[in-house]
Amino acid sequence: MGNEPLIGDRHDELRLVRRMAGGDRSAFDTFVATYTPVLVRYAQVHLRHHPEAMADVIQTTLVAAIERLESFRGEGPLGAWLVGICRFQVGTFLRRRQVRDRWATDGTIDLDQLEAPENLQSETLEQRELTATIHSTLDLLPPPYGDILEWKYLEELPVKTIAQRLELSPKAAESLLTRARRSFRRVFALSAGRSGES
Amino acid sequence: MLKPPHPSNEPDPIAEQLRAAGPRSPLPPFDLEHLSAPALEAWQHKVDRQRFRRRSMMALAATITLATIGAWLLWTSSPASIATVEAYSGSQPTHFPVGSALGGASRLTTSSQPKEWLAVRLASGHRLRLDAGTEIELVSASRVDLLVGAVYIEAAPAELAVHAAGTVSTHLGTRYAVRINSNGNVAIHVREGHVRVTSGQQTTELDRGQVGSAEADGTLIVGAFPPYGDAWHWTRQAAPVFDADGQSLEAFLAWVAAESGWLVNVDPELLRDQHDQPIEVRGSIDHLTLSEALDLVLEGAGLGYQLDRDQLRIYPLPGELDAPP
Repeated sequence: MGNEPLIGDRHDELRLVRRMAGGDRSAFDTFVATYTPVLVRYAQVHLRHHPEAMADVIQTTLVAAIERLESFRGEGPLGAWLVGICRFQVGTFLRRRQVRDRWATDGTIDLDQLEAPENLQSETLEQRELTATIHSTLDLLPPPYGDILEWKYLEELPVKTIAQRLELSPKAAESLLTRARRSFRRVFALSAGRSGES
Repeated sequence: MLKPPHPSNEPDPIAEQLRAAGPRSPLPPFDLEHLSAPALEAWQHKVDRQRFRRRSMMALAATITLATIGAWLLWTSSPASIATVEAYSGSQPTHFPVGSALGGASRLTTSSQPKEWLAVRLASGHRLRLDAGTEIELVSASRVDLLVGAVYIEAAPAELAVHAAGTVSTHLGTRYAVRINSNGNVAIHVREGHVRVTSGQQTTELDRGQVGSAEADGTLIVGAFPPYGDAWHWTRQAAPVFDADGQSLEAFLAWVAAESGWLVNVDPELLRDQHDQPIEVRGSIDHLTLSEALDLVLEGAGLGYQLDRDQLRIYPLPGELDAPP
C-alpha cells in the first residue's frame, strides 16, 4: 500500500492513475484506500434512507472509474472526478427507485405517486447535494485543511487556538487558513461543476 | 448545478456553507475489501487485456521484422485472422481475452457451466453469440459449423452459412439462432428478417416468429416461435456491452428492439428535443437489465412505455417527473 500524499496533488494523482493503468497493484490498493472513504462520505448523505444501497453504489462507482480511467486528465482533483461519477450513480439509483415506486402492481403508472416522494423533492435533493459536496470536498483537501476549516467555521475557534493545536505560530496558522479557504473554493467549484456528469 | 463560493476578497461565504452543511458525520463502518472487490476484478481484467494487446503488438512487431526477411512466404503460410472476441463470461477469464484475434479453423467451446457465454465478431461483420455448452468451428469468415449447443447470429450484409448436423442456414438480413437439440434435431429460430434453411433435399425460408426444426432424416418442419421472451434470454446475456452514453434515443431504442425482439412503436417527434435535435442518452446502463435500462432512459426523457406481447409503445408522460409539487 502506498503512503505517498496524494489528495489534491495533480502530479501525484496523475502518476497514480498511470501506475494503475500500467498494472501496478499497489497503485490500485492506494487508489481504493484513499478515495473509497471520500465516496462513502458523499454517498452516505444521499443514501441515508437507503443504507442497503450504499455498497452497490460505491462498487458501481469504482468499477465505472476503473473502466474510464483513461478519461481522467488531471484537470481537477481525482477525488472530484470520482465524486462526479458517484453523483451519477447515486442519481441513477434514486431515479430507478423512483421509477419502481411509481409502478402500480398492474404495471401502469400511478400518477398520484408521481407527485414527489419526500426524498426526491428538488429542494431536499439540492440541500443534500450541497451537504454531500461540501463534506466530500473537506475530505478531499490536503490535510489539515478540512479540519482547520471546521475548527474555524463550525467550532468557531480563534486562530490562536488553531495555531496551538497545530503547534504553529498564529501568523503561520492564518496563512494556512487562507490556503485552506483557497483550496476549498477550488475543489468545491470542480466538484460542484461536475453535477450530472457521468 | 451548484454555485461555487465567492472570491476571497468578498465577504466569505464559506462559513455559511459549512454551517449549513453541518459537521461531517463519522464515516459508517465499511469493508474496503468488499467494496473494492468488483473494481479489483475490473482492473485486473483491464490490465490482462492491455497486456494481451501489448504482447500482440510485440508479436506484430516481431512479425514485421521477420517480414523483412521473408515477407511473402510468411504471409502466404500464416492463417489470417477471421474473427475477434467481443465479450466472454465464464469461469476462466483468460480463456478468451476480449479483443483477441481468431484464425480460420478455430474451434470455440463454452463449458456447460451457467453464465458461460462468448461473443465474437467475424471479419465479414457478422456477430455470433455462443450459449453455454456450445462448440463451433470458424471455418472461414463466411462459414460457421455448429457442432453442439446454440449460436445466435446478428447477420451483416455479407454471406454467412451456418452448418449444423446436415442443415445449412443462410440469412437474408436477419437475427436468428441455430441450436442442436439433445435429440440431434436442429432448430432455427428467427427473430428478425428471413433465413433460408436447407436440410437434406428440402429448402425453405423462415420468417420472423418462425422456427424450422430439421430432423435426422432431413425432414424440415416449420412452426411458430415468438421472437421475444425468455427463450431468448441467453442471447441477451451473451451480448457485448452496449455503450449508451452519447447515443441518440433512437439508437438506444433500436438496440432495445434488437435485443428484446420487440417492435418499437414511437412517434419520431418524441425522439427529438424542443430544438428539434435528436435526444441524446447520457450515462451508463452497465449492470442494468434491459427493462431497467428502458425504465431509466425513457423516464429521463419524460417518456413512458406499454408492452403488449412484442409491441412496445412509447408515449409522453404528463409533465416533468422531477417537478416539485
